[in-house]
Amino acid sequence: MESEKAEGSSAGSEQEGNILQTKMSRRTFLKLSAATAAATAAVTTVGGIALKSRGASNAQSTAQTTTDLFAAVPITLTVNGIPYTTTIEPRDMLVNVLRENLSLTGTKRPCDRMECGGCTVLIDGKAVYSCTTLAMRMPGHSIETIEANNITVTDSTLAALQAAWVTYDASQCGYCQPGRLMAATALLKNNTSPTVDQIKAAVAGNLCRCGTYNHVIAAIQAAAASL
Amino acid sequence: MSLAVVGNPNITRRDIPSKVTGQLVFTYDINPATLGLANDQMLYMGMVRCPYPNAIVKKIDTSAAEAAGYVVLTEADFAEYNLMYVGSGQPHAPISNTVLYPGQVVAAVAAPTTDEVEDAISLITVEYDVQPFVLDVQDALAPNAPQLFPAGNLPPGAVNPENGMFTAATLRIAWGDADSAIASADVVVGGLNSPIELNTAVIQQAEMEPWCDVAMWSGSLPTVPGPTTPTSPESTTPSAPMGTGLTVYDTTEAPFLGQATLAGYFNIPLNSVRVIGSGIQGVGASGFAGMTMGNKLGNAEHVIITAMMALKSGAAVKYGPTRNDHLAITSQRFSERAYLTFAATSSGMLTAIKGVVYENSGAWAGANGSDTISDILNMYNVANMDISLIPVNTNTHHYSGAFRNVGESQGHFFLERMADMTAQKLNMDPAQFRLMNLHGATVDTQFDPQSGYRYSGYEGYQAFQAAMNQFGWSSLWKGWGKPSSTNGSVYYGVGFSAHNGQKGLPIPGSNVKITVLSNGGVFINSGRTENGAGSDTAIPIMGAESLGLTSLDNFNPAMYPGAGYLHADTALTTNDSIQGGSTSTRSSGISIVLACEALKEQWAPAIAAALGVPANTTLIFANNTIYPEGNPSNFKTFTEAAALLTPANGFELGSVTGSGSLLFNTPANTTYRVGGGKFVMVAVDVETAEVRVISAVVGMDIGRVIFAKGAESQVQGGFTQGIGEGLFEEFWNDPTTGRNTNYNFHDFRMATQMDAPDSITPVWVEYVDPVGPFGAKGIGENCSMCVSAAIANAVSNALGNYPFTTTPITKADIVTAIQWMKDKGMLPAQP
Ligand code: FES
Ligand code: FES
Repeated sequence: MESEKAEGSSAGSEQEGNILQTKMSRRTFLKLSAATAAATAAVTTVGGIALKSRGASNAQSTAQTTTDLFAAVPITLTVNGIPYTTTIEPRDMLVNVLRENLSLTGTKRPCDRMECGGCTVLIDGKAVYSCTTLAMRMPGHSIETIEANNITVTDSTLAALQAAWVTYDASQCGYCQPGRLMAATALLKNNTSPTVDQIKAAVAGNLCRCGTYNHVIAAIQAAAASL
Repeated sequence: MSLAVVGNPNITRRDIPSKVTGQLVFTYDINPATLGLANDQMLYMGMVRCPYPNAIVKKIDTSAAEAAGYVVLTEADFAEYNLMYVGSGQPHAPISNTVLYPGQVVAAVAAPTTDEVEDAISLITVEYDVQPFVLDVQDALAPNAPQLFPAGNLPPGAVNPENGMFTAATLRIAWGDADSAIASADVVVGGLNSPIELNTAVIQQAEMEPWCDVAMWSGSLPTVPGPTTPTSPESTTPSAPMGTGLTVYDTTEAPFLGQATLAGYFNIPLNSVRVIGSGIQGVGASGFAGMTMGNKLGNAEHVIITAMMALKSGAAVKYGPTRNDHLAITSQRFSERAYLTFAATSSGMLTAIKGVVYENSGAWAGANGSDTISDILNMYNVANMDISLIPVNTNTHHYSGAFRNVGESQGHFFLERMADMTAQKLNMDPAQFRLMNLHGATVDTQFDPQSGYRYSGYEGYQAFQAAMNQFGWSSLWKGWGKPSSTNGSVYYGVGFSAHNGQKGLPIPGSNVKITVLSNGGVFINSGRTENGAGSDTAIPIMGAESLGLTSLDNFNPAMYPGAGYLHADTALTTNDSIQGGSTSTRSSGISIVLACEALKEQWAPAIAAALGVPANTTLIFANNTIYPEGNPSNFKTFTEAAALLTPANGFELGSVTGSGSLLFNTPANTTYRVGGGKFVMVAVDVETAEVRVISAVVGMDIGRVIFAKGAESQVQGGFTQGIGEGLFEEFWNDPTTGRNTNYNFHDFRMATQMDAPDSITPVWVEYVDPVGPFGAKGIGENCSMCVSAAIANAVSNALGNYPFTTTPITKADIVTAIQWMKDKGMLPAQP
């Protein structure tokens, strides 16, 4: 009988797409990335954190290698126009900070690996997957989530889409829909009369297992017409 | 019957505003703050999973994780407790050192933050004895195959009296003499020694919200809030004291089954376990849990593991599975392999069906595939039948079990590919072949050929014809060997599948309560979960119709404080059975109609007195008014009548409540089937091998449409899901390592927005089903049933009748078919 030793759930790490988490936890990965960044690139500062920038010489970077990237740090994020100050680990992705630190759980996290779009938020008006966006990069940026209109209506485009979603029954279980609504909001902010193909392209990154895709198209068309 | 809200196309989904604003808190969204807990009162759990398909845990070292302060569970923590099972399969511990599928849990670990869960997992070291594995159903039955269980690879059925071992849950149903009929038939597809082999794939549930649990034991923790703050007087007293024993928030479709499972496992009284299977903080007091497929049936390992972790740690524990985890904890749609033979007369009369179906039960399940067999028995009038089912345990996946139209899409794929191949051999229009042979065309043939039970209402034959006509089959189908049309390299194919599925039975034990408050508000208490299928709207629609209301406004707590719908909390709600099998409309519908009748009976005397008519006068509830039969001008508005619900009038609670229970599967000797057909047009580019479904028409024997927008969405969504099954979805184990290679959304490809057809058109055949409320049946699962078969037939039509026998039809299959056409000179050679 063959005997094999595996660390934690790590034995599949050599195999792409295996069920198992890779040997590297996110913390280890970021430690390594930070070291690589320090060794090969200059460091710029965004929102108080050292980040990699391309094309600079090694010499410029060495001074930054002592930065502790793993201590919990305070951060201020502007979400739906409201400044929130919280403490995060630098490895935290925006989706987790929204959901866990700020209790803004309207933003969903179906896959946590950039495959489904369920975590889509607007950053400076652009649709972005928040599961792969480091929260530390977000100070100074404007974040908009599905909760934007819950106290007062601050985004009429989103409001029109939300109303159309109800009329066209574009949602069943609803878990994928906040992300899709944010992607659709980004579309209509740039293009108030999109074609069907443009609509499909704009929400193609948002998976829905319930599958009411055609109602989504109808709802986006109706919202566009109402704006 | 004139209906105001039933079938009204303007009624919108009640819970949708809370979903499109992000306000509804799903189980996966629960934080300590949601439950009024401090951050340090909740731990987050992760799983250590074995990568091998068959292995024994030799050694597990948890010391580093424990030294770091994390709480760990291994098999030893479960030693003093009962065994459990999934899918009627073999008993096992929730965490077992005997691993039978890749991804099986071998340890669980809890950490104070979600960030630290993956750190904690990486501190646990496991040593395995890796065992030989088997992935294929027939390989698993070969002599010398690796054995999953001491009794072999056949899942449990009856006990064999000869050796006391479980025998397989195999099944053989035969009538007539299939062998002789095949031997003497004019036309045979397959043959006694050369049956046609057909295969389907293992498919993941892949719902977007992973199946999540939050568990806590009373003692150190504060009492947790319920799913809503119920203000309706009849529901303020929980049936079990809150905050004692075990409370579990669970993304479940079966909260009461979950409660029974947990109570049984921990050997504690039923009312010491509270399972809450609904969203919290929803607008309109509506709850929500899960997805539109039935895999979350309460008796899964991780629910017990989460509760055990809460017991061991003394904290509230949240298990919010990663996507990888999720795909390893649920049930899967099983793959099946069939060997079939069809025989017919030269005039097109089907005379025999013979064959065997192997079901891949996965590692831990019992048999599931009898639905496949039921469909094979019911679809066609056949004088000679001989069909067997052999379920087999393999190391491919966790367990085969509940899934949207479990067993039936496989059965329809087999039947409808075979039917097309038979019609082709007869050189007969395949639609005419169906019309000639479909079972249940007339009332005297509407019965299950095996049991003899009669179908309740059935117009499946008419629904097939209606879809055929709406699609324009007779002009689009150009004959065998001819695509419907071509445009350069794009070949358009048309095809269809007939449909006769068995979902939507009324489930005994569905209990519903409805209350009218003195302000006119209406409140429903039903333990059913709302998983997106629309029962949160459909059941109030039937309640409103029964009470003579013309909208759902009276259920809206913003307009009528205290109104609403309380779902799925074993401490607060009725047991309203499970959400699954397309049973909700019929089951809760029957119960809510009964509940409304019981309510009216109590309320009527007070209304009659106010109207100045004798107490026993028959009252009509219609148009938001109540009046004596035959005298609509002497009326009270609903609101005026509700204002009579005062203690002075004998209504001590200021409200009136009626209860309704569907107690038995009424009437006796009845079976429940939904029929119709799905017609599709596909475009296949013979240069790029791209396939796109262009349009579809879905004919459905629905009985009565209750929630019109919801029914339409079920068809859209079900059909779209079927596209994935037909063209992409396949859970895949590497044959050399046995490991699963696509536990994610990227490699497990399902239909996306880009795959949505230009149109999916439902064609409802409405009539009054004698059993269903307002004549309704249940259609949810039937919407995806047979889509893969219809697509396969259409793609075959586009590609020169290439004999596809597997689903999904992948791009590689299309490339093979195109090459086959080229070899046969059916396509211009490559320039
Ligand atoms: S959670 Fe971010 S893409 Fe899926
Ligand atoms: S609405 Fe359920 S996943 Fe999209």
